[in-house]
Amino acid sequence: MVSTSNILIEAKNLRKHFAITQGFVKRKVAGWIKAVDGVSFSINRGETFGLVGESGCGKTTTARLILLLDQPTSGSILFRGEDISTLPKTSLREYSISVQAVFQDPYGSLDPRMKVGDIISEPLIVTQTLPRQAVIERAKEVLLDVGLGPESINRFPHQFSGGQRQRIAVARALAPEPKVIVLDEPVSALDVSIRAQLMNLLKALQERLGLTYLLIAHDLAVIKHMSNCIGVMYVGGLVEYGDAEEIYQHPCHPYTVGLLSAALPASPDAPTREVILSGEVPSPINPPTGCRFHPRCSHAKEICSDEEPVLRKVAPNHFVSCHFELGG
Amino acid sequence: MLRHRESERRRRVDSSLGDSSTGRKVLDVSDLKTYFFFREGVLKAVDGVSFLLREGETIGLVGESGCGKTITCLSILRLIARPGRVVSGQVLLNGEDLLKKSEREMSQIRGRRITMILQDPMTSLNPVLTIGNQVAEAIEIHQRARGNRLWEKTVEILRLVRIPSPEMRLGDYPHQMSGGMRQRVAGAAALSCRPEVLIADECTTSLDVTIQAQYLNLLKEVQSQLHVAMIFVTHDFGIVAKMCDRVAVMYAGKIVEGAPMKELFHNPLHPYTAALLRSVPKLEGGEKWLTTIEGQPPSLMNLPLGCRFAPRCSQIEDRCLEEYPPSVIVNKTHTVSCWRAV
Repeated sequence: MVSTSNILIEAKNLRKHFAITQGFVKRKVAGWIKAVDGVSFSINRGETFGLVGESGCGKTTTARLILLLDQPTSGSILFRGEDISTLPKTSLREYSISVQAVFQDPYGSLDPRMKVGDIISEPLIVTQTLPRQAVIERAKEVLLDVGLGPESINRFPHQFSGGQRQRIAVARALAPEPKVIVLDEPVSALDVSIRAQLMNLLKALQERLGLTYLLIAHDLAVIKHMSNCIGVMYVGGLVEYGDAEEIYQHPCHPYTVGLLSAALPASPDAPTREVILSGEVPSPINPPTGCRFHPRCSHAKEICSDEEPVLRKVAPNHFVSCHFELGG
Repeated sequence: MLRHRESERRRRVDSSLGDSSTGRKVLDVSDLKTYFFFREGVLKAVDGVSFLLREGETIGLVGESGCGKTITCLSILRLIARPGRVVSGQVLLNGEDLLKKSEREMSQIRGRRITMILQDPMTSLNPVLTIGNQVAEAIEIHQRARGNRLWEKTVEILRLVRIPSPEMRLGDYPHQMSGGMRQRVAGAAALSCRPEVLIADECTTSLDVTIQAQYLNLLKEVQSQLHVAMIFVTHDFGIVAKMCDRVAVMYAGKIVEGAPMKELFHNPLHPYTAALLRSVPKLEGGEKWLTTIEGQPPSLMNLPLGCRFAPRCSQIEDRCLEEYPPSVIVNKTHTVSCWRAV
C-alpha cells in the first residue's frame, strides 16, 4: 500500500466475535455477535487514520483491540512490523505504554475522587519507576502542553468544564510519552466552540510531538478535517479505505456515497448529494449474507447477496469492497 | 418616560427578528425572562428573549449548551419547575397569552396545540407501555376518540411518520424498536393532534447520520402536509441550513442575532455567530486550523455588566464592557445586538 518502513501500526484481518450465551446452569453458546469481522488497515508514523461509521459498526471494538482491552478472536496487530501476540511480556508492556487512549465522555473517564495530578500521574506510576518529584514535574509539563495551568494538579475534575476535562484526559494520555493515541469520539460530547479548540490542540500536539492518531468518530466533517487516511466501517467490516481527500472527492462504495450525502452541509450553498439511504443498519448477530450492505443498496444485484466482495484497488491508496465499478 | 419608550421600541424590534413575511402569526414570544432562584443567587437562564413564529414556518434556535434554548421552550409550555419561574414576558399563541392561563387551561394546550419532541426517545417514551398505547393516549385525551376510531387514528398517524406496517407494530414496546423508529413514534405522538406549534429539541442528536437524514426529511414532509410551525432547537448549523427558514442565535440567555437562514450564513453580523460558523469543520475542506472562540460562556449567575460575549470577543470596544448593546435592525430582516452594528 505505502512504503512499509513508514508504517507504525497495522491491523491484519482483525476479528472479534462475542458469544451470546443462554442458560443459567448449563451455559451454551446460542450465537455470535460479529462485532469486528476482518478489518485490516495500517497507520503511518505521524499521521491520522480516521474510522467512521454508524453506531454498532464495530469502530470502538476495533479501538479496544488495538488498546489490548479485548483479545481478538483472530487476526493480528503489528507494531513497528512486529506481531504483538508473539512479543515477550516486557515488550508487550512497552507496547501498552506506547498506545494510549482518550475516550468520548470526559465525565465518565475521569475518576471524580482523584485529584487531576493523581489522574495524570497514574499511568506514569503504573508503567515507570520514577521518583515522586519527577512524576509531579511531568504532570505539570503535560498540563501546560494541553493549555491548562500547572496549578490544576491540586483540583478535582468537577471543578473543570467539559472541554477542560477532555484536555485533562488528553494530558493523561500524553504523560507516558506514547507513540500512538487512540481517540474514541474525542469531541462528540463537546460544544461547537470548544470542539474547535480541542481539534486544534490535538493537531498541534501531533505536529509537535510526532504522534500517530487512530481517530474514531461518526461525524464525517470531523474525520475529514483531522485525518490523512479514512476507513469507512459498516457492520464489522471496512467497505472503503484510503486517502481522505480521494474518498471525499470520489467515493466508490454506495454506503460511503450515502454517508456523505447524509452529512449535513456546513452552509446552505454547500453542494448536497441527495442520496438518502433507506432502512437501518442490520444487526451484527445475523449480518446479511454476501455484501453486508446489499439490503440497503440501490445498485444491488444477485451477486451481492451470494458473494462477499473483497477489498480491491481503484486508485493508488484507495480501496473499496464492492462488486461494481460505481461512483467516481 | 423616554427610556420607557426606548425599551418599548427595542422590544418591537426584537420580536420581528428577521421577519418580513406576512403569514399568520402563530406564536409571538416577547421579552421572556425565566430565572432560577437559588440560595447562592439568581440564575438568569432566559433573559429577555423575543421571537415570532408564523404559520408553516421553521425557526431555528441555535446556541451552545447552557445558553437557554431548552429553557425558552419549556417556558413557552409553562413547564418550569421550582426554583425556576417565568418572571416576565408574553407568550402569545394566536393572540392568547399562555403565561396568563390557568394550569387546567394549559393542560388543554400542551400536547394538543403545542407539542414537543425531545432529544432521547428512550427516555421520553414509557418503556412499560406499548407504542400504540402511548400514541393513542394523546388522541384519546384531546380528541375524545374511543374504540375503533381511536385505533384508526393511531394507525393513520403512525403511517404518516412511515412506521412500516403500523397495524402490526402497535403492540410493540419501545425496546423492540430501533432508535430511529422510536424517535418516529415520539414524533407521531407529538403530531397526533395536529398541533399549531411543534418544538423539536435536539431531536436528532441521538440518531446516526443516515437515520438523522431520513428523520429530517420526514419532518419536512410532514410539516408541509400539516402546515405546522416548528421551533428547531439545535447546536448544529448543518441542521439549520437544511431545515430552517429563520434563525435565532442565543448566547448566555439572550438572542444575539436573528436573520433569515441564508442571510445569516452569508452575512453573520455578531462576532459570536461569525466565529461559531467558522469553528465548524467543513467537509469541502478548508483551512488547516479552525477558528476558535477562546474561553467559555459566562456563568449565568454572575453575568458581565456589558455585552455577555465581550470577554471572549475579538473586536471589543470600551462600550462593550459597560452596557448591553440594543438590538438593531440591519437590512430590514436582520437583527443584531452588537455595538459595532449600532
